[in-house]
Amino acid sequence: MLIPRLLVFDPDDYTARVLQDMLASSGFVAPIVLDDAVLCAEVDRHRPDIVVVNFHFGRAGLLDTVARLRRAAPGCAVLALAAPGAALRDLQDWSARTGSIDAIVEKPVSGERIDAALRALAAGRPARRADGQARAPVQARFAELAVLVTELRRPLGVLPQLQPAEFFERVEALNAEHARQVRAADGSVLRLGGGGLVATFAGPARAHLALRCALRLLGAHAVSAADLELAVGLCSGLAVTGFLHSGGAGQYEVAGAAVELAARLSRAAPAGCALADRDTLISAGATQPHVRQQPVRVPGVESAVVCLDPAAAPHAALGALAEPEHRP
Amino acid sequence: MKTLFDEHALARIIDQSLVYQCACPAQVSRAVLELRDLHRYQLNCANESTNDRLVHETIAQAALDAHARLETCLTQVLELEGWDLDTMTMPDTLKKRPAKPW
Repeated sequence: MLIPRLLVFDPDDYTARVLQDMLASSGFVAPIVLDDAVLCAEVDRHRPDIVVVNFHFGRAGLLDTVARLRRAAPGCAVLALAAPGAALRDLQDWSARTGSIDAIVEKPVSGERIDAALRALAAGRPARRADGQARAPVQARFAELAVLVTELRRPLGVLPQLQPAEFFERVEALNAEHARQVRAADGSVLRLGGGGLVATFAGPARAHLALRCALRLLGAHAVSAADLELAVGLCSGLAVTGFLHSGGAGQYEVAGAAVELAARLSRAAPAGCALADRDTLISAGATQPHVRQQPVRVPGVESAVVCLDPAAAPHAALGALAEPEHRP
Repeated sequence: MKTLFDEHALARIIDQSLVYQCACPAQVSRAVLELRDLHRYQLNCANESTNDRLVHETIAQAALDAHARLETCLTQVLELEGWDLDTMTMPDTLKKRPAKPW
C-alpha cells in the first residue's frame, strides 16, 4: 500500500510539532500548517491525501476552516483529533450534519491508533480519487417532530393459542389499521414491526395531531375485538431526519432522543393507555388530559409524564383537544 | 454530580497533552469524563425491577465516589506539574518532545 501524503493543520505550534514527530516515527512525512488563512492554499500546493486536523475545544473558526477545506478539496480526506466529552460530541454532531470529517480519533492519541486510522483512510482514498468525485453529501437535517410509538402486547395465554402465521396476520392487520389512521391524521409511518409502529408528525400542530391520533388509535382499539393489547408513547423534540444509504437503497430514518423516549413511554404505558411527555401535552394544547391523577416516572424523561386513558373518559380526553389552527 | 472541572477545562488539558506518552493529566481527565458518562448512563437506565434499581444505584454511587477521588487527584497532579489552574495552561517546562518512541 502506498504511504499517503499528509498535511497537519494545528493552530498550536507545540502540539503541531509533537504530532509531526509522532507521524514521522510511523513513516509519514507531514508538513504543518498553523494558520487557517493559508490552509486551502497549502492543501492546493502539497496535494495531500489526508489532512490531520487537531481540534482545540472552544477555539473559534476551526469548524469553518474545515468546512472550507472540504469544499475546496473534496477528494482530500480529513482526520480529526478531538478530546473526549463535549468536544467530541460537538464535533461528531457537526460532522454528521456537514459530512466534512471522514474519521475522528479521540485524544490522547497513541501512535498505533492514529497509524491505524490513517491507513484505513488511505485504503479508502484511491477509489475516490480515481473517479474524481466528491462523496455524495448525506441528506439529513434537524427537525422538530412529535414521535408516536405503538406497542402491541400479547396477553398471557394468547400466543400459545395461535399458529405462528395467525399471530403475524393479526399483527399485520393491526399495524395496517394503525398506519392508516396515522396517515389520516397527517402523520408519517416510519417503520412497522412485530411490536407495533413508529410514526412522526411534523409542522406547527405536530404535538396536537400526534396526541389526537394516539387517542383515536386507543379508542378504536378498545372497541375492537383485537386480542392483542395496545399502548402508545408520545414524545416531542429535535431529531435528525434523512436518508440512510447503507445497503444501497435509501431508507428514510429518524434518530434522536425523542424517538427513544417515545419507545420507552410506550413500554411503560398501561395497556389501553398513552403516555406523553409534558412538552407534548402543552404543545398539543390539551387543557385537561389528566385522566390519571398520578404522573408516571419514566427513565430518561425529566418531567413526569401524564397517562391518558381514553377508555376511562373518552369524551373528556378527546374533547379537551381543539381542532388545530395550523396544518403541517 | 459536583464537579471541580468543567468539560471545557478537561478538554483544554487533553488538547495540550495530545499524546499518550506525555499525557498523564490527560489520562486522568479522560477517566473523569468517562465516569461522568457512566454516572449519567446509570441515572437514565431503565429500572424494570427492584434489583435493577439497586444495581444502577450501586454503580452510580461508585462512579460518584471514583469521580470525586479522581478530580482531587487531577488537582494535585496539575499543582505538582505547575499548570496554571486559572487558564489550564501547561507549563513550558513540560513542553518537550516525548522521550519514548511511538
